[in-house]
Amino acid sequence: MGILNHLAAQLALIRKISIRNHQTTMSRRIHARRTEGVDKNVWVEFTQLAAEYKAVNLGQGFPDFSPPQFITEAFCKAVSGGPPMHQYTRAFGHPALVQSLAKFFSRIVGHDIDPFEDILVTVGAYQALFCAFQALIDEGDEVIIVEPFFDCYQPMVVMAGGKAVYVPLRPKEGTAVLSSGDWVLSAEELASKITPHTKAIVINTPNNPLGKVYKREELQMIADLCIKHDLLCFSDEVYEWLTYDGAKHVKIASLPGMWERTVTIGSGGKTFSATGWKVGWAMGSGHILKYMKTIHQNSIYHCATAAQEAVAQGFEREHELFGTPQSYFQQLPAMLHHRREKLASSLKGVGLQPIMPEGGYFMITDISSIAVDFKDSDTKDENYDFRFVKWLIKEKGLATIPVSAFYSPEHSKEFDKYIRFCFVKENSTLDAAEEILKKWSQNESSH
Amino acid sequence: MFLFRVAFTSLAADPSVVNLGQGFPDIPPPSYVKEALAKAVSVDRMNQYTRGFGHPPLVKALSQVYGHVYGRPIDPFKEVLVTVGGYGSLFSTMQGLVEEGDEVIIIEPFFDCYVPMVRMAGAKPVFIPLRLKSGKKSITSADWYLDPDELSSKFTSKTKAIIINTPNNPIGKILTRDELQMIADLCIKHDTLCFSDEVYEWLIYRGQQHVKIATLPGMWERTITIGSAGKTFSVTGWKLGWSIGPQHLIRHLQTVMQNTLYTCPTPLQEAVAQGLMLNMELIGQPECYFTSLAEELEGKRDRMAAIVQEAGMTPVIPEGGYFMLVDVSALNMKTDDDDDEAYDYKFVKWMIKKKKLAAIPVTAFVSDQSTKDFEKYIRLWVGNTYRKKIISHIFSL
Repeated sequence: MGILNHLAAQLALIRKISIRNHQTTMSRRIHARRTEGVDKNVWVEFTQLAAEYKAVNLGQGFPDFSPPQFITEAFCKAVSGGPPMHQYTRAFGHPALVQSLAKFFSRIVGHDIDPFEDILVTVGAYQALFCAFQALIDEGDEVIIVEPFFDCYQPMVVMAGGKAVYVPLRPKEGTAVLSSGDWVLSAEELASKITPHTKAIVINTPNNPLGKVYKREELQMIADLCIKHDLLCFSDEVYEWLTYDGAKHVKIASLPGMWERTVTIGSGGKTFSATGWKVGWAMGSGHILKYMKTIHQNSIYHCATAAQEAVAQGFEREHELFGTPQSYFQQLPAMLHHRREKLASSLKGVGLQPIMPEGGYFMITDISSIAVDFKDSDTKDENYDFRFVKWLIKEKGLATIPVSAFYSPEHSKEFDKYIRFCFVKENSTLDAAEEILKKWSQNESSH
Repeated sequence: MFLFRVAFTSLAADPSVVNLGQGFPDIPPPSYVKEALAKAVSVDRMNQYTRGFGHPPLVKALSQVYGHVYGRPIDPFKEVLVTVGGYGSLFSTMQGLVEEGDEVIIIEPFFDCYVPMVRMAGAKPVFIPLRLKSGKKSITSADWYLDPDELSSKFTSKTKAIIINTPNNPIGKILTRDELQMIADLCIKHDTLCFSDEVYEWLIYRGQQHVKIATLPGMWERTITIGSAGKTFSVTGWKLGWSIGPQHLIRHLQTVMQNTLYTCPTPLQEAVAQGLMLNMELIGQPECYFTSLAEELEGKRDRMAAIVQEAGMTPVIPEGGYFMLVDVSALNMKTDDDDDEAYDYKFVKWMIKKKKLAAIPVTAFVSDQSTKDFEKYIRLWVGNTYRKKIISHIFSL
């Protein structure tokens, strides 16, 4: 009997273990369907490649020089502030920050911005975009996106259940296309894209990657359509302080009838050359912002306190110095103006034709005049510019970004002969890029 | 709970009100962590974008610390995601793995964001309350338990996941190995996922042990474990957290991350990485913050419990975490407020107005069906006792 009991106990134990080990991986679909079709990401792919090949990096948009001293000092001061600087602050935005943003932007927008109702602070402008799409776009809504566009707009529309409808900026007919100002939006083409399902239009000015700074008349044309068809406008203005050659940044929210239907998005990272701080914001009428706050409180809830305090101090300083030569908002575009010229001349020096950007971080250049034998059968099915950029990283050690990544699937093949350079870099980086281009050009001409 | 926070935050923001409600410390963080942050900001590269799924020094530090804790190698690039707080990890997990038609089991009382996040993912929350052992005058968080039959009955063919939180907010209960095994058996039997919110994992009081459900057989491959720098280093305002799990789950959270905020702040991640590596060296020693913080809070916990008892109320001694439940029924306080409101809400409003003391009503952490079981409790944060004189005075009811 003892042996039988012993065996029974052993069998029970074995059965228990086998139940525990039985299903160690799930047999059904694990992921949520909203993650389908949005899993590829150009930045993840190319940032990794640039790092792997230790390329001279003119790809991803971040400065390789330091942020201005006054802003890093403000951060350090916040860090050594009392315990509250290291604990949760107000979820929709640190009071000091929303107040300084409201004060600063009210006079620019021409509207009394309520710091607590009309502003939401987010983890970078990226999260502000996410909140806008999640809060305001529903299944079946159409969103008009002007191409070329910062690539995240499209997956964000998809994730919100919406449908992206594209309208491209096109180079003006009959003129040499030398500047981003030569790329225009056709009013008829834009109007033709609007349907009863259209909920919003997304614009980005200054534009990434092209560098176009929309003129007042162009924004007025868009505004007229928004008002006529009762649309929302998401205006991504992260590069708002970076305009060159006298181009003026105009806020569409400042046009008549637009404050009540526009979400304007800004970035502390781009404003103060500290992209790694990830402090951004959305500004707009409280009756729209309140829905974005709901998304925010159910996804992130709070943003880091000390970084917000530092950006607040930055805006306080800029408020005092606005319009004067000491203002960082004067000094940064002046410095970048020269970097822009430097890169353009390096590209022209090797026979490439850059499109001079009126604003922003980037310059695109047409590469169709260069013949390259890729030899890489792995990338055979990819767009030409993707193959070119990968080849340029691997063979020449220069990192850029393919411009068709900023186009819809429908139009990407039309625009696959451009690559994008970031010129917001130290002179030494731009010199290194110039070296590579010169050597490459010399190799070519010696064949 | 959000309605509560919106309504009560302004009441409690009155500077004359002592706020024992919020879940953040008013003790300073360790100085080396603040120094590491200031130092990071002085390095140019640290002020620019880092790797989207987590700053390499941080994911490597997490992989080392948790590799040691889990007793298994953890791939820093494929099995770790850095997020904006534990909150951001919960969101990425829900958005990545839960959808319309799914059911998600939530144990009550629960950190209040679980329900809106489940709903935002299109799924249905299914509740199971922790129950108080009968006949026991509730004294510690260990007196609450999960009924095995009741739990088992909540699993259906639609169940996608169960969310557990150990140590628990607000009760402070630490799920025992047996309880976790029971949950694990059900997860395996019904082929579900487990989301384990372990943000208070280091705040374990004497005699208790924190067990990671992901270390039980068959669980690594179906569990996302969530941690928090804010709770680990008393820097809730840094809003950094992490999800750890198998690649085939983490990659969906990474997809969500790259489509929501892309990357977390660099200098903060750098500083947390350094804090983790420093304490990794000190594990087992008295200076290790992973254990010294718990010791410091335990003393405060005991003093708070004594004050509460002197005031005629009954504390529920927590086994872990930041919080303590207090049973206020012995005070028999009557209010003439709205009769539909739960008792704890009425009590807290009264306490703020009349006694200048703020706390959180515990029914904010339960579904409507469990209100009656929890409305005699309020939640206090244990650490505030440097102001114990004020508290005693206020509590002399």
